[in-house]
Amino acid sequence: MLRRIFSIAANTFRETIRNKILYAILAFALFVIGMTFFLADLSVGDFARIIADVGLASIHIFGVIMAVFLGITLVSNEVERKTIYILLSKPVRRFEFIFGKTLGLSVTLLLTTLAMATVLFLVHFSYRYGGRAEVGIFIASAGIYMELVLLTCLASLFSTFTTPVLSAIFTLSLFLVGHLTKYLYVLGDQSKVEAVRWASRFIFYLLPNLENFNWKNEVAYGGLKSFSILGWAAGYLVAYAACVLCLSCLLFARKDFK
Amino acid sequence: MIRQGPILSIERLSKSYPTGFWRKPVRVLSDLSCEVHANEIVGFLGPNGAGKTTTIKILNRLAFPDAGKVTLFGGQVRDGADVRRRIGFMPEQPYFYEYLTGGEFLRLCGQLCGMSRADTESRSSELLSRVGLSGARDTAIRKYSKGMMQRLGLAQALLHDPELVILDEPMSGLDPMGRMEVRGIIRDLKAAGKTVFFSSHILSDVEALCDRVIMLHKGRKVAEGRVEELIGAETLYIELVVSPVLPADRLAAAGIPPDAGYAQGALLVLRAADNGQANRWIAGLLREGGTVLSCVPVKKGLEEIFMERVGGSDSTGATS
Amino acid sequence: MNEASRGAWGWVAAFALLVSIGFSWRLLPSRALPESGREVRERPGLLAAVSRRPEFAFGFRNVLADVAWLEGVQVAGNRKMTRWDYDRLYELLDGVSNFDPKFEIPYLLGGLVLGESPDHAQKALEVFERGKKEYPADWRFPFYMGFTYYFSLGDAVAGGRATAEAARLPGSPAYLPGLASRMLSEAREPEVALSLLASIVRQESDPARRAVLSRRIREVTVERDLQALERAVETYREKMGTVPRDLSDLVRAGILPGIPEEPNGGRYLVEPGGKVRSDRVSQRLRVFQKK
Repeated sequence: MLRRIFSIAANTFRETIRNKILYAILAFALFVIGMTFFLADLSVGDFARIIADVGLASIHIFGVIMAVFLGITLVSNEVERKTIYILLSKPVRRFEFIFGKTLGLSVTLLLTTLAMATVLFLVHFSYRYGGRAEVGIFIASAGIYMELVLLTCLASLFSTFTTPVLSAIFTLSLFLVGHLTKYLYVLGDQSKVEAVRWASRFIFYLLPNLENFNWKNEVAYGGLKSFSILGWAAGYLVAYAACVLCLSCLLFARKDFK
Repeated sequence: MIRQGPILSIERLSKSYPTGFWRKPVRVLSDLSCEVHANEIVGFLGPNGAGKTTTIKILNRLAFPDAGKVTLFGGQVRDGADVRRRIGFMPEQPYFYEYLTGGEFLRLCGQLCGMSRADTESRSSELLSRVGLSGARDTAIRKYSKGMMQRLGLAQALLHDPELVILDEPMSGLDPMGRMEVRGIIRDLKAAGKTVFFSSHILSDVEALCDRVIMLHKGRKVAEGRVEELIGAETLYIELVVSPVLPADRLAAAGIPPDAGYAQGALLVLRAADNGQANRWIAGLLREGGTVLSCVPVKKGLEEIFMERVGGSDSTGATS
Repeated sequence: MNEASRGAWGWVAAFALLVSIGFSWRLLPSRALPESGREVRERPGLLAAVSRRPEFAFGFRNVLADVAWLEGVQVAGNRKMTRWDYDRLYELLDGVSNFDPKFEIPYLLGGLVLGESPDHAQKALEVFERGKKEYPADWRFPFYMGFTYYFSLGDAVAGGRATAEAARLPGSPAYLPGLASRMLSEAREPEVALSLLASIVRQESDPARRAVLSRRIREVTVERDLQALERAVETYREKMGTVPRDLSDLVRAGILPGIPEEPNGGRYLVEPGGKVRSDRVSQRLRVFQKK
């Protein structure tokens, strides 16, 4: 079972890594990150901070674009090109297919995120005013990466039952909502009606809480009190991603291919 | 390998596809039952849209039936990875990951089937040369022609040396040479003790290859049986080829009505209804100085049988 | 895959969701929620930075203004606002007006909330002033400024002048001239503030803004009651030579007809030194303390 999952993952990795559009996005992202070097000159004081801020934001945004773009085509491409017929007629169970695909894409995203973070680290380090080796860039990028993995899982969930365009819309909506869930919690808590409070908490825990992975602030300002937060966030990622993937498998298990 | 009972048995299979949210689902298979026995070549025959591909998808668990049951290998093994390992499948007009080369693709298939690396390598070299793709091993599939895709599809289906090979339209998209090669491969599989189940809408392929035929029309089975049984002993007419073309008065003298045949170049083609008439005609022709070049009884082909059955099935349902 | 194993996926999914809830719950305190009183000053966000260069909002200036305002409402809605909350509120209001200067409500409500803190009254006036520049014909801006001058800064003259300016603008209520003259003549007293607040509440239809104003009314009411009770305690001390052990002593001694109800639902308590406090309000409104 693991061997088959790894084979599919390796193949997916090869598929995405040979995708020209991925390189276009990555190249543009690296260009933008490089440009922060000059953007910082426009600021008054706190130059290096601008580099870190804008750079991390670029990693985040371009990462999300890659994750959504690759994630929504993950399953639908295979169905559309009928390559899935051959895969599933082999001794491959459908959940192995889903797990393998997601794993492969996660590896691709790991590499691209790492590439972007490294470039940002170098730009930040080599900046002439106040440049320094900022490990926080990698910590914050790790958080971004965790978010991307979760988004990939969500995208693959949607792509098991709907068209790529709708999957992209759903995934991007969840990305936006996922960063706002804390408002839901707070707003609901202010309600005097017990049922509203419980409902808002229920939805809060049901929706992906992407703010759990957002350490840009803490890291850039030295506020990350302990690394245990990374561990808890990783735990959250694993549990929530497992939930989403199991749902995908559930939906995918009886899907007819026409 | 000879075993007791059928290798594949399909019982009362029904399937409809939804066509839209409001509209009625379309019935693609109704109440289909059939069996495939070990070491047979079974042809699955029917026009486009008869339900052949749907049945084959159900066999490969790419679609799930609304009702009915599929039993593979006598049901000794639960359907799962073990059963899949004993089945090879080639979909209709197969597509592959175009970013891979043919060799890489077969390596992936080998991994998925749990084959060792060395096994995969030797099997894929063997199969690629068998299907005539040795030279394209390291070419990206993107650059493959339609016929090459078809050949690679066959190679991947046979890679893990399956007992049962299911092929969906294996000859479509191939040139005459390619069709001959595929026919050869299918015959070799039978010789090696394998079982082949393939669909086609080309009757001549089926007639030339199959031990048994299952005919499908509008999701129903219209005929099933051994090819020679179906074609049967029933003679449609007896064709006589005569030289030279005799004038009408000499034909009349030989006892042959003027509408019994037609001239084809320097030859005269006549159709006699039965052996007795043919004998009388031949005697008359010889009398009038003609030469009988050939005398062939023309039997019913699958085509005629199919047309006959389909004509009846539209109102009364399947009969076999 | 048969039906039973399909069901298994559902159960595993549900279990994984439960586990994820555990992690999310554990992470909750580490993620600064807008509600929790924060001791550490939050750094000026990207929002504030962009607001200083509104053109970087591209086509989304109004939306960003809304986002800043919603965040501001969250801050202003805290039950116990700290210094930092007021600072943050001002920053957000600044952002809102940078993005969308015509956005009226933030000026009015934000200014009122800022005015609650004596340290931020000057900033409240700035906010009103910016609003007034955008809406010169709206009487509420000078009126609210007058209110802030009078009660938060204790400047009766400036307060009266601003209120008089409001009274001259079209649509202002008929009682404004009277208020202006009272302000100009009277010392600051909770009763005057209460009647002013009541008049503002009457103008408000929005429940959120009414909630903020009613909170303000309760605070002033508490202060009024505390002052009355402390006067009674003083009378008691003069009469009996000792501080009452309990506020009900004041009623028994015939000094007060009854103990006023604490508007927040708490109780008034007398401390050994003779100070009276509410068990719900920790800080007294400094504005009304007689110097």
